[in-house]
Amino acid sequence: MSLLKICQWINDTGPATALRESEIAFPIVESIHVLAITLMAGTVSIVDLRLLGIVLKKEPVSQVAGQVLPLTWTGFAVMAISGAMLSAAEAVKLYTNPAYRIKLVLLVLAGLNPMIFHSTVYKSVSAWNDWPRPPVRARVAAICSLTLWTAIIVSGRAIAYYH
Amino acid sequence: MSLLPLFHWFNNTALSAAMRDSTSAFAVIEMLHLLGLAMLGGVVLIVDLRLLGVILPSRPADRIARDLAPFLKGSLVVMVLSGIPLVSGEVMKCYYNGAFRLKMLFFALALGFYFGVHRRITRSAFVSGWAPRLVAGVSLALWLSVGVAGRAIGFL
Repeated sequence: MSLLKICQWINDTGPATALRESEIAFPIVESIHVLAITLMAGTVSIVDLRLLGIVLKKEPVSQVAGQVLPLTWTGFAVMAISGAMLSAAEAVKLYTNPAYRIKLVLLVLAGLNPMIFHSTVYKSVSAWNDWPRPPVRARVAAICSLTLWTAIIVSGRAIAYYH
Repeated sequence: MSLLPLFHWFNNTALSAAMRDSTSAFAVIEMLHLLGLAMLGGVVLIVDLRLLGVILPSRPADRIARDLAPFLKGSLVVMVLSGIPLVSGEVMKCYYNGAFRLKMLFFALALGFYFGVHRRITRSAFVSGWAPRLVAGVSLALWLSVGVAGRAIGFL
């Protein structure tokens, strides 16, 4: 079964059709998806700026990450659920949308970044927890994160212009 | 006094004409507006959730607010500077758009509240007790209203 056929099948399911055709539900889900940017990308960028030694330099890295990243994950859950709903509703249209394809690739990369970060340089955080400017590998991870999320927001917005 | 003459004037500016003529300018500037939203919302959330005692309770709230203030102001500048050309591309549509009017009202309130009340609280010694919690709650509600009304402009 080809990917396009799967998209067609998702597109034609009852809930996807109902969401696509709803004049109220679709804008509401879309608004939640857009405004949750603040909870997801907004909060992760604060952690990134801490890793770059630009903000909250006097607060330990582990505290900033430990207290702020749960907000990011909450935002991520909201984004993923609302995004999956929007994707299902327009699955066939999105299948050929170049901005949507780029966004999916960027999302995979943005997911790999914290996995690499947490399994490598962050493991030794106790050694550099209080450094105003964390080690270079942490700063590189922060720049990757900021770049990826910027590109994800830009490509996400571009989806509508290819519709 | 009606603001209609002001909107008519704005609609006749070169900026307005340029935004209407360009096919890509609106899209590109809207992306900047969204990036500004992410940053502004992130800073507001961190500072207000700290004032509410939800995150970083053992770290000084005044220092966190002071430290993030340049990013709050910077993202506000990005949002206003990108917002002006966005409005200029559809001046009269905005004038008659209820969501746009509400957004400007909430924006004025949020801005006034930040510079008039919020900043005073985080700069004062009173960063404990009920006052900072109330201020944080009002701040979150106002900025969320700006965002929701802003998103609704496109739906009306």
